[in-house]
Amino acid sequence: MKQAVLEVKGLTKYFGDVAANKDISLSLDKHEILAIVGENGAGKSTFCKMLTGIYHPDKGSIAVEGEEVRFQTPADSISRGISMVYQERNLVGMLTGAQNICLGHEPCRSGLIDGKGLNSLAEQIKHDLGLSVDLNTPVEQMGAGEQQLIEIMRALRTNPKILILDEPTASLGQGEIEPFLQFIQRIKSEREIAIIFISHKFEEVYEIADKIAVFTDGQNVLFAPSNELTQEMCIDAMLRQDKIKPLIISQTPTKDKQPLLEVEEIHYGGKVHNISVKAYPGEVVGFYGLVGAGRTECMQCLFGLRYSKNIHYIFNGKEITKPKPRQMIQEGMILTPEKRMEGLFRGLSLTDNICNLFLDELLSNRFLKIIDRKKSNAFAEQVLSDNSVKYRNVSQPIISLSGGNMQKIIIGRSVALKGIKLMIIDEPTTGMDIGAKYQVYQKLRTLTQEKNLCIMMVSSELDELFAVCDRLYVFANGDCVDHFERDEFDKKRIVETAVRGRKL
Amino acid sequence: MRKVENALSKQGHDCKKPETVGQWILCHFLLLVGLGLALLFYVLNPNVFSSFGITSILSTASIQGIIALGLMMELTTGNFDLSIGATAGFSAAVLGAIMANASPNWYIPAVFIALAAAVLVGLLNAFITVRIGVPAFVGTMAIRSLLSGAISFLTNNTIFYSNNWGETYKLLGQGKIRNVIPYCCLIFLVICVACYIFLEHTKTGRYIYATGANRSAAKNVGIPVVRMQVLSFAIGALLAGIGGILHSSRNFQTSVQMGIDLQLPAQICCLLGATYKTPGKYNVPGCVVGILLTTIITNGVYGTIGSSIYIKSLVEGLVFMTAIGIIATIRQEGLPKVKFDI
Repeated sequence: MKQAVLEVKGLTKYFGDVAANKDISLSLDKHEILAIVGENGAGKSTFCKMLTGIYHPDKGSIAVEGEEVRFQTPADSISRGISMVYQERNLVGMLTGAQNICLGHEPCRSGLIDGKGLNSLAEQIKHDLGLSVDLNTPVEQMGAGEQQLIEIMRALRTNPKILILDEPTASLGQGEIEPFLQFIQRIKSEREIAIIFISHKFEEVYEIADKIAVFTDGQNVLFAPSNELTQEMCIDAMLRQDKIKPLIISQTPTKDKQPLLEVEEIHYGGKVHNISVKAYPGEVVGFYGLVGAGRTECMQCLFGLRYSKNIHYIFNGKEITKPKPRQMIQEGMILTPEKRMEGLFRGLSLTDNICNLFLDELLSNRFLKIIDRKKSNAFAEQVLSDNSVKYRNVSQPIISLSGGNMQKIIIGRSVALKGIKLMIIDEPTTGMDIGAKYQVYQKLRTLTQEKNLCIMMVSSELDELFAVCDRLYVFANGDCVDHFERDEFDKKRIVETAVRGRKL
Repeated sequence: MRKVENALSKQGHDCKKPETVGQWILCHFLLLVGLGLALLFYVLNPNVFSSFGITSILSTASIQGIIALGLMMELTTGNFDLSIGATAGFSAAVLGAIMANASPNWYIPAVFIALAAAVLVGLLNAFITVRIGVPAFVGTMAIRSLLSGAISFLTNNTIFYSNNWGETYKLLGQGKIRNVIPYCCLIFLVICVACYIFLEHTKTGRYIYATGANRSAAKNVGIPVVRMQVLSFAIGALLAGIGGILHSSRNFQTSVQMGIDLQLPAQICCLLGATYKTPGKYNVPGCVVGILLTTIITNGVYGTIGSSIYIKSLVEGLVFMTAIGIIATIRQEGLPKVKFDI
C-alpha cells in the first residue's frame, strides 16, 4: 500500500482557551496538490506553523512518510523535508537571486565562499525547474513575481518532500498568475514532491488542486478530492453556523434624497479603484470582503490617512479634494482604525486617551493653553459611563482594560465629538467576546436611530454585518463589486460574490 | 518555461550598475568630493600636502579608519554602538596603566591584555543587546558611561602619560617603514583587506550581513543570528582596541577625552561609507573613502584656514548632510535608504 507522504491525525492547538486548530486530520501523497481554503482566521496558518515546527501541537500527530515526527524548531522540519514559502517575502534585498537561493548553505572553497560554485548551483536549480529568471541582480530590484520564484527555488533547493505555499498568488499581477499555476503543476508531476497550496481564490484552487481541505473556525470541515466537490459545497462549508441573532431593526431608515457621502472612484497604489458608494444619514452601511479586498485602504483614502491621487468625493454637500484627518473631523467625519492599538495612546491613562481629541474645549486658560485637569476627568467620566465601560479610576492606564472596553472608548469618544455626521469603523469587534460584541452592535444602532448618524462599518464577519447593517457593499480586489439591500441579504450569494471577485 | 519568462517582467531599478554618467557621479559622490576638496586645499596652500602633511594625514586616517571598521562590523548586524570610541580609549588606558608600572619587555603581553579587555567590553555589549534584549543604541550608551569611569580611574582623570613607557610605546603609532610608510597605515591596510574578504567572501561574513539586512529571513534559513551578533560585537571591539592602542602610541598619552574624540569620526565615516558605491549597505571601500574624506577636511582646514575648530565641524557637517541628503532624495527613484537599526 502506498504510504502517504504526509499524514496528519487529530492535530489540535490551543492558545489559552481558544482552539486555533481542532482535530485536523488529512493526508497527502506524492505528486498531489492539496489546497487549503478558508476565511481569515480559520486556522490555516496555525496549521502550517505546526507543520514547520514554529508551533508545537497540543494533541494529535504528524507523520512524514509513515514516520511520526515531533518538530522542536523550524530547522527540524526543514531537515525532515518540509519547506515553506511564506506570504511575506523573506529575502535579503541586496543579495542577488543566486545568493538568496543558496543563503545558509553556501558552497565553500578553502574557507571562502565559492562564488562560481554558488552561481552554478543556482543555475542548476533554475535549469531543473525550467525557469529563466535573472539570478545575478539584487532581488530588491525584481518584481514580486520573480522574487516569489527565487523563494520557491530556495525552498526547493533542499529537495523537500513537502512544499507549502502560503497565498502564493496574492502578490502576483494578473498576467503572472496563470504561468505560475502551470509552473506549480509541472513541479508536482516532475518531482517526488507533495504540495500544500493555501488560497482563498476558488478559481485557482479548482484549476490545480487534487484534494481540497476547507478550514472553518479552526476545524477541517471538509476534506476530499477536488473532483468530488463543487464550489457550492466548499462555500457552504466555509460559512459558519448562525451564531449571532440579528438585532431587531425597528425601522427602515427613510433615505434622505441627498446622500451624506458619495464617492465614485479612488486612485491609490498606482491603480484606479471603482468604488461607487453612497451613504445616507441614519443608517449603518456594511462593507464586506475577503482579506486584501481593499476596504481599509479605501476608508483610509477618504479620511486622508493614505495618499490618493486626485481624489474627489462629495461629503455633506461639499466637494472634498485633499482630505486631511484634522480637516475631515471638522467636516464631521471620523475613522476608527482597523488595528485597535493604532487608535489608542498606549502608555497613557483613560482620561488622556479620551480627552486628547477635545483639548481645545478643556482648557482652563485659553491664552496659556493650560489643560483643566478637573474638567478633563469629569468629561472622561461622562464618556465612560455613557458607554458603560467598566473601570476603577479615570487615571488608570488604558492597557489595563479589556479589548472590548477599549473599543467602546474608541467609539464613545469619536461620537462625543461635536458635529460628527459619519463614523467609519473598521473591524470594530475583533477579539471581543459575544456579550461585548452585542453591546457594540446595540450602540451602533442607537447612534443611527437617535442621533441620525451614518455609520460605515468594515467587517470580515458576515454574521456581524447581517446583525447590524441596513445595506451591504461587497469589495473584491480593491473595487466595490456589488451591493445588497437588507431584504436581499443572502449569505451564500454574498460570500460567493466576494470569493469570485465579481457580481454573480 | 517560455511563458513564465515572458509573463514576469522586471520592475526594478538598475542602480547597482550605474548606466549614466549622472548615476556614476552619485555612486562615487564621496570619492569625488574628497578629491575635489584635496585639490582645493592644495591650491590654497601647497604645503598642506608636504610629505609630513601626507603621512600625518594618513596616520590619523588609518587609526580612525580601524575604529570605523570596527563600528561597521556591528552596524552590519544591525546594532548601533555608541561605545566604540570609549572601548578604544579603555583599551589604550589599560595598556598605558600596565606599561606605566612594567618594564618595556612587557609590551607585547600588555598589548594582548589590553586587546582582551576590549573584547570583554564587546562581549558585555553583546550580552546586554542580544541576551537581555536592550536595544544596542541604549545599552552601548550605558556602557560608554561605564567605560568613561573606568578610563578616568586608569588615567587618574588626567591626560595620562608615563616616563616608564619608553620607546617601545611610541613604535607602532609613530614609526615608519624606511622612514616613509607609517606602521599605522600598514596595519590599517591589512585590516581593510581582511575585513573586505571576510564580509564579501566568507560564509560567516555573508551571515553577518544577512543578520543585519533581514533578521527574520536569516532565522528562517537557519543562520545563527545570536552567534553572528556576538561575533560582530567581539570583532568590532577588538578593532576598536587596536585603534585605541595605536592612537595612544601616536599621541603618547591616554585620557578620557580620547575615547570621546574617537566616537564621532567613526560614526560619520560608517554612515558616509554607506552612501558610496552600494548605497544602503555598509561597506569597506566606503569606509575607507569616508575616513579619507574626513581627514582631508580636518587637515586641509587646519592647514589653510588655521585651527578654527568650528570651520572644520562646519565643513564636516555640510559634507555629511549633503551625502546623506542626496541619497535620501534620490531614494524615491529606487536607491534604498541607509538603515539605522536602533
